[in-house]
Amino acid sequence: MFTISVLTGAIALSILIIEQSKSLEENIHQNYLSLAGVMSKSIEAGYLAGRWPFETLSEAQKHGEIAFWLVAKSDGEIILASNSSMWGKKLPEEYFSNVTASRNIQFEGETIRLIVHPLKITEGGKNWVFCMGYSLKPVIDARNLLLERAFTSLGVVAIMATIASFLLSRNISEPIAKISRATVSVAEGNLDQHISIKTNGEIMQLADNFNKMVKDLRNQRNELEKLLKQKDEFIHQLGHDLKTPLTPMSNLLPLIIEREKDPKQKELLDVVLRNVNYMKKLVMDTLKLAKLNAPSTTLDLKKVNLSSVVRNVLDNNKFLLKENRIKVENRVKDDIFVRADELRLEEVLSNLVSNAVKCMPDGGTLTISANREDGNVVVHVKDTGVGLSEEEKERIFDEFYKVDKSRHDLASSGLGLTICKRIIERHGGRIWAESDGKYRGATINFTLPLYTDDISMQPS
Amino acid sequence: MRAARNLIITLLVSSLLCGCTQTEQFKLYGESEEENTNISTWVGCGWSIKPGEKDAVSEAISIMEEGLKGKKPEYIIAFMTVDYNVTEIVEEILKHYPGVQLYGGTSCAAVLTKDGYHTSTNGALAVMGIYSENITFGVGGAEIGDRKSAREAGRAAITEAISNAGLDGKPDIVLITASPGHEEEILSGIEEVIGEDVPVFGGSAADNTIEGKWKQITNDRVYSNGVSVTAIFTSMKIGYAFESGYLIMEKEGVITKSSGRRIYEIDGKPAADVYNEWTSGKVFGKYANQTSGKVTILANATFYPLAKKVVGVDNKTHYISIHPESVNLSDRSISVFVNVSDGERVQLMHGTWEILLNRGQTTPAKALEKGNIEKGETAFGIYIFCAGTLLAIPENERDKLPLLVGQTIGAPFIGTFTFGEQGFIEGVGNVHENLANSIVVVG
Repeated sequence: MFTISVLTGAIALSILIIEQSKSLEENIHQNYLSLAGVMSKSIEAGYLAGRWPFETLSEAQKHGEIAFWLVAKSDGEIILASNSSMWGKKLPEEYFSNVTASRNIQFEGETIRLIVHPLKITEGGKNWVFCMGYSLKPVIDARNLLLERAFTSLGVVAIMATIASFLLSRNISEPIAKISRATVSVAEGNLDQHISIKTNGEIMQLADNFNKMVKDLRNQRNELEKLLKQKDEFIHQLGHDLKTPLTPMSNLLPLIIEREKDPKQKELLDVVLRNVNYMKKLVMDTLKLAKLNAPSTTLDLKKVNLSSVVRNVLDNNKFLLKENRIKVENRVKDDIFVRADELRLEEVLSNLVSNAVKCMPDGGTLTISANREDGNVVVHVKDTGVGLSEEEKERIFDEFYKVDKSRHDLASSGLGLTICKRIIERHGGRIWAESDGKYRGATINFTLPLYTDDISMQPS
Repeated sequence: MRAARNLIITLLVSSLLCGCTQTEQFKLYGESEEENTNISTWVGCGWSIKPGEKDAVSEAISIMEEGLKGKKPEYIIAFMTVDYNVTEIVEEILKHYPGVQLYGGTSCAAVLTKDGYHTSTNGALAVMGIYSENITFGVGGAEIGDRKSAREAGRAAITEAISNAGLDGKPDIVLITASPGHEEEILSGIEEVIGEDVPVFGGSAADNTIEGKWKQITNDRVYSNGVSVTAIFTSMKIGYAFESGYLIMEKEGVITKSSGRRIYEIDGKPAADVYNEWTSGKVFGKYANQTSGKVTILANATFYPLAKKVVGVDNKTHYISIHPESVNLSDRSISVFVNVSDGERVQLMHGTWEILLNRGQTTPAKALEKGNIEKGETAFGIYIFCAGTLLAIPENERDKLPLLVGQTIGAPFIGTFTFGEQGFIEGVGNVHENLANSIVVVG
């Protein structure tokens, strides 16, 4: 903008000065034209009187910046001139004219305006001419001086504006930009920002306040991380403490049941075993979820053939599917590759398949399909089961949420879909449920990043 | 950096917008040389303003020889300013051309040739050499001091000149360079030998400051107070013109008291007062009321000279111009540069430097007409111009004088600035006057 302003100003000023000098030049030229007319008339009178008007010509030459004058006969011979070197020479034909004409020429290193004035003296039907050249140097010098002064002023203004702009930039714009960038960085989670601004006044006050705020946030984050870490450690420890006694119970109870002869005792022991296994699954799933939530847990991302994983999962659950009379349709094409942790992807699909089976207690159809969309792969796991209400669609991924609360389902910890959600989110994707309502089946959709060769595409 | 970039852009724009207009170079074609149809006469003119007589002569001769195209001159005219040692100039010329007939004298301030107006504080020298199958030259001279009178000196000079020409009879025209002061007597002496009908043209030798440093040259002799003449015998056409060019004013009177070259009274009144009245005080008005002393009026009087009104045998009125030199405020007399006598009518004249400069073309034109010579037929010219009228022309305009002469006659010429002029007026005879210019052309 500054450059454009300066350029515009320079061009406008130049045009103005040049127009002014052209106007001045024209006025001067008119004066010289009049003078040439007077000198021509005196020459014509002198010719008739037999006496050249040297006094008039000499006086006229004193006015202004006349470089030379001459009188040329119709054959070009110069018979009178202010410069003795011109006498006897010939004026080229191109300078002759029947009307008063002007042109710019170079004479002795100077730009001269030449006026050619035909005289009323004829020979062979052709006029003699009077020529007068006057220097354009005063006009050119005046114009150049004006331009020089104008551009010196403009240059000074430009320098001052640049300095002002620099000072403004250094003292205001730049500090604000710094604060703005730091704010964006903080919003993106980088709490290590510190702004160093050496200026006075409100800007520095703002920077100080910003630094203080970031410091507080950093401390709070550190505190939170500490608490989260403590929580994770607590959960991990609790999980181990809970799992430890449950493991021998779940291992030993089947042996005891096998050896128990009393059917009633055996039934009671089955109940205990089922609850122990539920507790164990709950603890395991809780630990799994805790581990997924831990920042230290990383995914083993690689190129995974989605269709292959789906086939594995279906194969692993084939007895379950057969037992529950579930018809399976695998519509995932073989050429779909995702960037994923294969084991965890299997866990997701396995949970979804297991969940779908539960939703189809009287049998049904399980359809798994996938399509590419905007750099991702969208996977659809559709069942023809009990369907979901609006509330259920929103909450089924919540921890410990169960669709059917009236039943104490010991086969489900309530964390399966939560674990799926966490895994998918760790892959940078999202998971959601769709259903047309109760008893109309449901579809669990999730996205995974489409595999490309650009290794910079890493999910957060 | 941005600021510097902006400044550079600004200045570049300004330089572009300043505008660079392409203009053509003004050129004139070279001079068109007049083809001289006179193939019997070879003339060369040379000049120099170099310091030192030897170098000046060497340069002038070198230029002169270009015009002579290999011919050896049999006659040389030399005019020079008194800044040179005239004797040494003569010696140098004669070293180049031993035995050549050499004629000339000193000029005031400058000399002329077709190449221009030559002047310098070193000195100015012009030479013109002539070789002609149709002209015979004879140069003679005499020192006035060696003779009983100026008249006798005139006689002796022309006699010697005719003798040196080797021909009998009267010359067709005579050139004269005399010392100022006795021109009328000298002319009388010459006319005693050749008669009153042979034109005698020339001028009184001059110096730069009227100090008597003038010289006259006769072959190998240099006079300080002498006369040098050239007798010319030729079958070629001769043209000449002699005029002052001034405008004749109405004021006139009769010299009622005079002596030699001093006018005491005009119409019975003090000459100075009459002159002052005629000129409305423009010449010496501010001194007019003084009653003693002498005031030099040379410069102002150049524009207001007097003229002797003479009626020729052809009943035509002619005006012999007189240059007032000074006014004696005691006896109210006017000193002039010509002889005056009681009963002569005098009339006031007036001129401007423009009139005087224009004579450079009007007088030669009249000479060509007089001799019935076409411009292309002219072989050479000898031009005489009063030093007083030269000094009246602005310095920056003087270089136009030789250009006008050369343009008119279209031939080589030599010119000198004199302290008196002699020439022939039809119906009157040979006269001496002031403030005049003359030219002799041969073609």
